[in-house]
Amino acid sequence: MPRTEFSIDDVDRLVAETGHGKEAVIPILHALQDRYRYLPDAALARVCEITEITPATIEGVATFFTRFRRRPMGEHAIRVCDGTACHVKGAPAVFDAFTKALDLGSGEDTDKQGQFTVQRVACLGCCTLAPAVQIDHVTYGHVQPEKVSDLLEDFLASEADRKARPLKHYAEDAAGAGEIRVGLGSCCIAGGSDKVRVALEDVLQTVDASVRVKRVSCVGMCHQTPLLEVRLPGRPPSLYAKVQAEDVGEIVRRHFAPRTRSVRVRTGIGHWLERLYTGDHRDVLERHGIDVRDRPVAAFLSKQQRLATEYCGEIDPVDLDEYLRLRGFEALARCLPGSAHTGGPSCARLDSEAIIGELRASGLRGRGGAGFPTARKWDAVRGAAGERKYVICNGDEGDPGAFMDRMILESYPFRVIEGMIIGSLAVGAHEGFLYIRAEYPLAIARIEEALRIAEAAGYLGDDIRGSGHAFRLRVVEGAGAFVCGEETALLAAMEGRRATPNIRPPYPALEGLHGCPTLVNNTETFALVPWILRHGAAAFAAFGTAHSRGTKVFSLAGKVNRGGLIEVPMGTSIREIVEDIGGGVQGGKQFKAVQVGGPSGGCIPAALIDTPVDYEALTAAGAMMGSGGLVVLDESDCMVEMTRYFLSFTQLESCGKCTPCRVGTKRMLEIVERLCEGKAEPVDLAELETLARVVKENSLCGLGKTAPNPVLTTMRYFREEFEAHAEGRCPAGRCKSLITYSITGDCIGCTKCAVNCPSGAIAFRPYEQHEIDPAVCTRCNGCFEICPVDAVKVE
Amino acid sequence: MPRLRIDGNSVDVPVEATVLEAAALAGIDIPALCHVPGLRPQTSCMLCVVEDKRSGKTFPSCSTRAEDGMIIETGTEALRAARKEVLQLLLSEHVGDCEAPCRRICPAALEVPLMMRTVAAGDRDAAARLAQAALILPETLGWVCNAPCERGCHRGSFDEPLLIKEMHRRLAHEVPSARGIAFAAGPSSGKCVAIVGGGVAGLAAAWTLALRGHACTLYEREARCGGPLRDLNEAELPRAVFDAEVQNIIGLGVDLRTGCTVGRDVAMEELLGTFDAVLLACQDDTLEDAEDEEHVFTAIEFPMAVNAVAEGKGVADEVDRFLRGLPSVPRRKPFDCRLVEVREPEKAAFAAHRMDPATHGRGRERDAIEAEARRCLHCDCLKLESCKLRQYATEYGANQFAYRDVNRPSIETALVAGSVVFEPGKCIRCGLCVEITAVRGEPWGMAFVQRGFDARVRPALGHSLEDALTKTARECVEACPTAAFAWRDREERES
Repeated sequence: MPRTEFSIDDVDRLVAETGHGKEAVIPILHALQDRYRYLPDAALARVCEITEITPATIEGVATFFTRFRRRPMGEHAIRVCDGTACHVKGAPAVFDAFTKALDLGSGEDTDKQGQFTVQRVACLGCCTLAPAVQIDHVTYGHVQPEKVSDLLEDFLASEADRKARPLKHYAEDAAGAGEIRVGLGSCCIAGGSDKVRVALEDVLQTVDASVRVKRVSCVGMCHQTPLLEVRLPGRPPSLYAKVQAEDVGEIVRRHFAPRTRSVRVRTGIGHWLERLYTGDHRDVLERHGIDVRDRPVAAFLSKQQRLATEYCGEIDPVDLDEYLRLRGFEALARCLPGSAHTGGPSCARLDSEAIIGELRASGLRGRGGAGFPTARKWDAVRGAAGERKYVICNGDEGDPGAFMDRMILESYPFRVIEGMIIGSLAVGAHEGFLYIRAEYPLAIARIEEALRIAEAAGYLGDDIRGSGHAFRLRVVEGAGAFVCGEETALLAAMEGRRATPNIRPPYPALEGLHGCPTLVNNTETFALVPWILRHGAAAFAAFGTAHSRGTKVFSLAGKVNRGGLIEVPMGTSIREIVEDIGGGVQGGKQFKAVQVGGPSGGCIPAALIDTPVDYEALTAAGAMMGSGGLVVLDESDCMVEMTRYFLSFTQLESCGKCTPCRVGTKRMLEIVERLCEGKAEPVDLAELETLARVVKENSLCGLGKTAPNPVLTTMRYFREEFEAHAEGRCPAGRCKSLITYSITGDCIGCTKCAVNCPSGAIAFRPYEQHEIDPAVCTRCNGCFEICPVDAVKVE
Repeated sequence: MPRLRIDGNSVDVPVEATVLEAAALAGIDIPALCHVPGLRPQTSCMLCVVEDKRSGKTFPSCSTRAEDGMIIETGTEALRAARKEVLQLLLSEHVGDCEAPCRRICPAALEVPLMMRTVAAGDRDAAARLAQAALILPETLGWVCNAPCERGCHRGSFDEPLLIKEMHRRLAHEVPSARGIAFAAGPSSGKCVAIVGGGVAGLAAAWTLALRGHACTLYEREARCGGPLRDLNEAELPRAVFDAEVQNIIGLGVDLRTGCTVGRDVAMEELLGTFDAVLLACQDDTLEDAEDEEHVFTAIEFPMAVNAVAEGKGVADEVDRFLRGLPSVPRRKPFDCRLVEVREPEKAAFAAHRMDPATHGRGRERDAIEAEARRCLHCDCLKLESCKLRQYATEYGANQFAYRDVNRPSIETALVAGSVVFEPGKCIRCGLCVEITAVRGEPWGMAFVQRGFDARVRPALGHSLEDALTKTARECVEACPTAAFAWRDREERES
């Protein structure tokens, strides 16, 4: 495909469509990049001529965010997720495989034909499908390094023959006949659910039933995607897991009579119900119908409590009527001026003071990680002087290993919007924004659709439902910077500056966006507000612990049998989450630790598995709630390597403003890298600890202050592993420089290792004992995994 | 009006004042690199951290508003340790030499690059005075010194090192007037010093003390001064050269007693009783007992003459402090950042704004000293004195190599606009120049590019430094806390 050539008219038009003010920088850059697939210098210079944006600003912003490119990129972008879950499940090998498949030299990221550009990206939020890869807007899960060429072919084939079929809208009366629910969250789509939907619509034309296909919110059982649920009046629901397009016919024919008798096929579904398959390997993928009464499913669901994720797997994310039927916007109705509620005191209208009073009584604390009491924040914004105030939903969920906010935005857009409108009433704001990271295209699309629908129905606009209250909401798309999770950095980005944090105070509650009082809350926090107002503060406060009330949504991923999106009461122990909900560690391996809170958090060791999820308890254990990513690690995970992983993440994401974080994280990473390479000395450990403390205590913002946490907690609980590395040993056998692979006499000469070795380190010798050339071996672990007789030894 | 305590002093400050401003009102100076009064705080260097005892929090004082009731500590052990660490982090990626390697290596601290610039500018007299002041025996050393300075010379990575030793020998020889006219004994201090031993160290001490106005008596047991230098033959050191330079010292009014052995011809006790200070610059074990006396000092006559000169100067300095009643704590050695070496791939970038193109590819010039001086690369920093990073690094005893195995960033080509130089390797990303060019409305200005450790500052959108600084060059140079921005041809160190 020829590259789009730069033209001044083009740029002028894009700017005219986007805006001329300083705050338009990021949207303009997005528009230019969409147009040219990179940012030509001439285009940037032109933007400066015709807008208020200065050259220093545009260059500063364009080079700050990872989404923007200064050199041309290929036709398709391959984004290899390097989130925590993907990392522990082999993302580096997947990245290398793409590099090899595209024949890229060192420093190159685009193939010679200019067809593909491969990039490593921060978490795509598809942790349960790890390792995940996104090619343009198609996400692939469970990618295996040896299959990447097939994957590229599949992508190109589907591109050529893309069935961009919009969702059918079914007449209301069709609902009575039954429905088939398909999960269409990003995880499900990455698992193939959109293909399932298309197949389903095809098959349904052949059966004699008036049944509607309904897209539903994320079920949370991401380990079973794609999920398909058949609901027929008067019959128990049937749930099918890991359904692929080719299975749809059989499932449908099991429940519905075909239009013509001759195509009836004996179903072979019965045996699917026997047991629940929990493996990950697509090669041997068997698909089963599962039942909510099945023990594992019951275990997965029974400890959960759905508040923020209420009606999960049931409601259509953007069906406003259904949202209303399920008491949506009821909380808002009670808050709007002039509302008609005249019932008892429990139904009395809530003015701003009462709304905040209710939140105070509920004990709700910010779900973004730090746990600041929500009512105090709302009260501060309410009390702040200023004509103009803003409400911002922080949907810049950048933690690798976390995808709660993505799921909430994709599945419950109206709930978040309702929470924000209530926020606007409580603080007196008339304008609001949802800042959503660009890695979440589906979330952005769903929210935008929901905003249009809500506005058309009078829930947003100049006079909300006749109350006289005006509130407008807009989506602001992020551009790839983890630091934007920090609210002052997020505000800087929204104002069109480099996203570097500022010192607080002044807090955004008093001086936020454009200097105006601004309420910034996390997505999950806003999503909880309608529930609290609907059920009352006491109902919410009944869940949880003394200082951490209510529930918390977690994304559970890593080496766990049943990963997914879960919501549990605060105070639930890590053990209950990992063992009961998650079904324990995969493959019968030993549980080693759970990483909580992403790069700001820490690793809770097996010995502390009874730690409850609670802001204070997690902090005391050296981790932190963070936004709620839980990544389970087993005995084969090296804690020093994990530390290196998190540090390299924060080091790359450091904004570079303050010295301790900018240089300190780099120097810490160098020490940890030396440990992983066996080049460290025992004195390095002391130096690492000293440096970690200095960075923690002297950095400007939360990113820098928490960046040393993974170092400090792992050194606290796994010191012997650090000491072993300082002596040149990796007890877990993960650090490539410290291990060698060899083949023992148990080898049966099956040649599987030789055939699969990507670097050709094993000579093909059928029926003979194979050997690994250590000089060529890249320690990819492929032979170890493929050997049928465990003859590969790692030392 | 908020009232707070800073290091125990109560101070009332205007509303909106920062803690740093409040401290300034209380007369307390908080270290800061990225702060310039009148500009928005950058809050980037984090050197200005202070602790509020009331809240137990540590925060940057430049951007934290002073609040009523704060109890601020600005110099606790922990804060000082944190500042030192922050400085070391900055220094771990600082690309450049403070002192030129030749100057750093020279035991007698000859300002070689300054001398070369002075010669190249045609002022031989001033250059000769510089050599005289530092070396005391510049022509003699020009014969006998083994010139360690030349081994450190970065020019050696390109072709051949500068002829430093020959330079000061010829300056001293060709401009003898620079000695007598320029140097005279200082106004009398009323104190008298006995110097025992007329070797190189003793001579250097006599010169130094005489210049400071102390009456010196120099005891030498041989008939001539000079220690081991006396034994050199004419080809190694022409006698006339050495004699002239000794005479130059004696000419300052030093009372020279040759052929006089202390302990035989004159009693040690007599010296101790007569003189305000006695400096032993002889290797005579019989005088060891006297060393316990408070007013007796010892200088070692090192075998390498330039070391002996440095020793004589150094001990004379101590004696001078003693005589003036100043504490004897040695002045802290100024921090000295080191480039260590110019690596092969860095040569072009290093030489870009330093090498006089006319000297490119030419070997040592033995005819005209001006031509040779133009070969100097002037490796010394342009902000030797005013660099705040250096000042604080000295104050906090920071170590550039605190982190093991750090691969310093490569040398980047400096940008030059008229008399302004921008050396990216010395930039600490404080953001002041970006701020200045933005608020002064530069059409292009300086921009931050990239982020995190890779963040850089450079003229926006690939423009030249001239374009970036149409009206803010002076302000940027003055605000820049390091020599990232500096005047190209303004001498900070006049000797």
